[in-house]
Order: sequence, then C-alpha cells, then structure tokens
Amino acid sequence: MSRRSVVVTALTLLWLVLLQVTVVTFLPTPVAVPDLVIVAVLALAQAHGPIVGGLAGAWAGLLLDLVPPAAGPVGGWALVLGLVGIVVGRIAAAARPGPFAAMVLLAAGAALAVLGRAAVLWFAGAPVGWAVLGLAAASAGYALLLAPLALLVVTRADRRPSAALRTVPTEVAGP
Amino acid sequence: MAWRPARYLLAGCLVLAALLVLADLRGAQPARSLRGAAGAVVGGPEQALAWVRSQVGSRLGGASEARARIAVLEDELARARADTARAAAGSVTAQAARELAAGVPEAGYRVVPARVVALASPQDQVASATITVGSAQGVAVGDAVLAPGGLAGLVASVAPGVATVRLLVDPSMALPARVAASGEVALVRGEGTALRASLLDPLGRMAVGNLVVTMGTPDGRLPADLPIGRITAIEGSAADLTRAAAVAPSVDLSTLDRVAVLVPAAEARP
Repeated sequence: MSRRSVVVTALTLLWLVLLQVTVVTFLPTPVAVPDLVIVAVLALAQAHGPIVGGLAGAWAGLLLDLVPPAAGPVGGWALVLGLVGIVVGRIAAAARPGPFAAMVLLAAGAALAVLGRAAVLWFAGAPVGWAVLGLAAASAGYALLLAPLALLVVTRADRRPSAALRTVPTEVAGP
Repeated sequence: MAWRPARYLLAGCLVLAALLVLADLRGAQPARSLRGAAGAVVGGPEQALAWVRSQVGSRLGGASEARARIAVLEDELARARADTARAAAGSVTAQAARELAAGVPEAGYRVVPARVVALASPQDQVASATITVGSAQGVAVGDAVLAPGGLAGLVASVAPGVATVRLLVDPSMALPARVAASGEVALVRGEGTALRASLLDPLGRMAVGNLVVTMGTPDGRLPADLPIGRITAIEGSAADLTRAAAVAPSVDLSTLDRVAVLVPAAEARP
C-alpha cells in the first residue's frame, strides 16, 4: 500500500464509522443492521493480507471505541477487529479463496467479530446471553449481502494505483 | 520483508488496545477523556450527517412516517383512555404517572431539550445514543435523560457539543427503583431490549401492570419518581429468596428522537 492509499483508507474508515452510527443504525432492519465498518475491514484484510487487515481493524476499532455513542471498554473494538483482521487476512492469504468462498469468509469474519465483542463485554463484567448467537448469525447474513460490493471496491481501488504506477515510472511506492 | 516495520506497528497497536481495555476497566481517567476528545472532534460532522438523514427520511418516507405517527398517536390515545378510566376508579398512581410522563420536571432542575443524532449498532451490544447537547449546555455525566413517557437513560460521557447517553436497557445499567403502588425497593437492570427488576424484599408486593419509578440518588443528580417502566410478568414466588419481574420500558427506546436532559440547578452555569 502506498502512503497515499493508507491515508485514503484511514479516512474512508472514519467516514464509514460516522455513517454507521448516524444513518445505518436507524434502518429498521430485523435483529441487527448491516455493519459497514466490519465489512470494510474484512474486505481489506482479504485483499491485502493479515498485516493490513490487522492495522485497518485496529484503526477502525479505535474509532468505534471513541466516536460517540461509543460505550463499553475503550480499546475493546480495536483489539477484536485487529485480531479478526489478522485471522481473516491469514486465511485469505493462505487459501486464496474464489469469489464465492471470499464472501463466505467475510461473513464468517463478521460473526467472529460479534462473538469477540461479546467476549470483551463479558470480560468487562456485563452479562452475555444466548441472544448473541442470533446476533452473530444476522451480522453474517448482512455481511454476505454487502460482501460483493465491498470486495469489488477494495480490489478495484487496489488495482488503480498499480496501474498509475505503471504509466508514471518516476513515482515510487511508499514503504 | 518490506512489511517488517508494519508487523511491529501492528503488534504495538494490539498491545496498546489491550492495555487500554485494562486501564478503562480499572477506571483510569485518560481512557474516558479520550472519548470526550473524540466527541469534540466528530460531534459536528455527526450532527450534520444526522440532519441529512432526517431530511432524506422525511422526503422519502413521508407517507409511511405519517402512518407510523398515526399508529403511535392511536396507541397513546388508548393508553390515555385506560389511564383516565383507572384514575376515575380512584387510582392515584395513574394520575401521578400521567403528570410525570408529561415531563414535568422537579423543582431544582433545568430542562435542556435535545435530539438524538447517533445510535450504537446492535453489533456493539451496548445501548447508547448521542444527543445534540453537551458540556457547553451544562450537561454532565450522570444527568437523567427523559423522553416522552419517562426516563430514557443517563449521561455516560460528555463533549462540548454532544453527549453520550447510556440507555436503560444497556446490559451494564443498574438503577435503584421503587414499585410505585407499594413503595417496594427494587434494582432495575438492562437486558438488551427489556428490563428486569429484582425486589429487595421477596415478600414485597408487586403486580403485573404496576409502574416502576426511580428512587433517585442521594446527590440529587437523578430525581426520584421518574417512570422507568411497567411490570409485564413476575418470576418466582414469595417463598423464593429473590423475586424478579420483567419490566417493559415506559419510553420507546427503538424510536428515540426528542429527549430532554435534567440538569441539577446547582450545576447550571451562571
């Protein structure tokens, strides 16, 4: 990733967090709502591997931990999304899934993120019930719906800078 | 190999996140002030986005919103009629409940009106909302937040222009309360979408339909007798050590929009 695309990715994740809490959570969808932030992190992890996935997850998680109406322990989402980003990035890098398998992997990652969040809240002393399984399943379902779009956007955005690099040989990729 | 530094950066981030969690659970102040700082930065953009949402929502869903509003009003009318009938039958509680539900503040409080700009996702597994007023309007952590019907939650963190409200149904919420009809003391806890009241005295009297109200806090931040909810089911018998009741919140927390913060008058800025 070039320095410029790191900045663009970081700002896009901030924008998605704001959009999530001010608009998406007001949608009257059953059980859960589509989670733009988790899906974006998992798509990045699949496209760029565990390191980028982990860093994107930690950054997006920190935003989810701090941007109002954040509640629960500060740093909880950063830890969970960072770890889930690493896991999904590792699996994607090792197995190189096809388009359909990539969508399923993304949905599974979304469910894992919800369960990880429940674990953090349980660690913080909040009661956690069986309802979290339904929530995880619903999150996986919504992630499956968003997955084609997210994977398409991430791979497209990935392709464009490299094409620019080929046409402009003087530009050097960042560290 | 070019990714080596990034690998250390990632490890550092995760260790830092884990330390933040532990620091927050230990009650360290920096973790909380981080939230206030973030609110100061993104409070404005959030309010702008919420304004866009409300504009688009009223354009697109005008008809369906009107239908929903009619349904809500019909519901309210039915409830008001039921309350009137009960009041006529000599129930003082219904009368008191209606007066409180009208949002009549207790003496010594300033009412600060606000609107909801953001809600936590269900995936967050916490129940919280961001409102349009903050420390600049005198709002402080612990203030009561009212909505049509009764208590909606308590202020959990503040920034200059926005505040975050922990809603009643949040799993970490625990409030001292009373059953209005009998005066029995209970502890009300959030359960995600509903509430549960545990009675202190297992022999205490309570019945389905009874109103549960706040007991208030000694520092006066949370006033007494604000409606919390009505008992919908009772679990356990008088023979058990503890008795609990399922409580439906007085406030419809799923469609929260207009709220009011009760700021203690002593806290009011000159």
